[in-house]
Amino acid sequence: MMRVCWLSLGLCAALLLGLAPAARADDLPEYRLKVAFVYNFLQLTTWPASPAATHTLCVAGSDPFGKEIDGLQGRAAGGRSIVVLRKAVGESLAGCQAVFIGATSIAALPRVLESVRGQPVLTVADSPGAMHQGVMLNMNVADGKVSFEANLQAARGAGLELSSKLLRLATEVRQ
Amino acid sequence: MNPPNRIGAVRLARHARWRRRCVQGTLMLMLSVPAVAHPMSLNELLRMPLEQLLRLEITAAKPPLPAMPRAERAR
Repeated sequence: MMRVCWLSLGLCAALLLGLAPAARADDLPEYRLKVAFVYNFLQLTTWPASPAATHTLCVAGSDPFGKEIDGLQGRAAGGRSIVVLRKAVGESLAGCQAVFIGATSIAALPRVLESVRGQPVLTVADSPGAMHQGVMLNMNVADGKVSFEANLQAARGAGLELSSKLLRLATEVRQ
Repeated sequence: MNPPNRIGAVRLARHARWRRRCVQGTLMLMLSVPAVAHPMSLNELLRMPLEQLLRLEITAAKPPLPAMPRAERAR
């Protein structure tokens, strides 16, 4: 009996120590998850035909992603390779196919929107109310989960097509 | 109670005591090992469909102060 007990205890310890690192797979930083959302936004948006071989994603102002966003460098989206650039507020956004403006730089949003007006540039933000100011895809966090809203009117005005999947999964769609 | 029955009862009681200790020990061992959270990698996330991303829950704290692009910092 004693031998069986020690054996079961030993087995249990070995199993726990061996499997502990894989026991929970739930450590998920906010901006890592948001990078995955941005990647999906790039994949589910159609730009007007262009000879460019790359998708340039510009982070305007403060960069809340840190090194996480660099994980998109060179990845393919819509048959194009993604290039990530960081731009200061006020810096030219020429050549950007998508612009992300973070919550800490949101005061500069009108200036950013004005600089890309009428151009096929996907605008993405993560600030409450940004969609109503003209941002095409805006992420929100509620109860620890990320959701997004879509401004179809702004996207169409810029000649971009948001996929039906994006529109279906958005919490709110501005027509 | 005759002697052989008494021996049997003592043996049963001893077995029960060992079984109880064994279960307690295993439970204590299980509780003493903290569950280690393994960070979900960006690669894993990029392979997930949007529907699945919407269900994920942020568990880590917000990152420290954001980095500024050089041109903005110089201002």
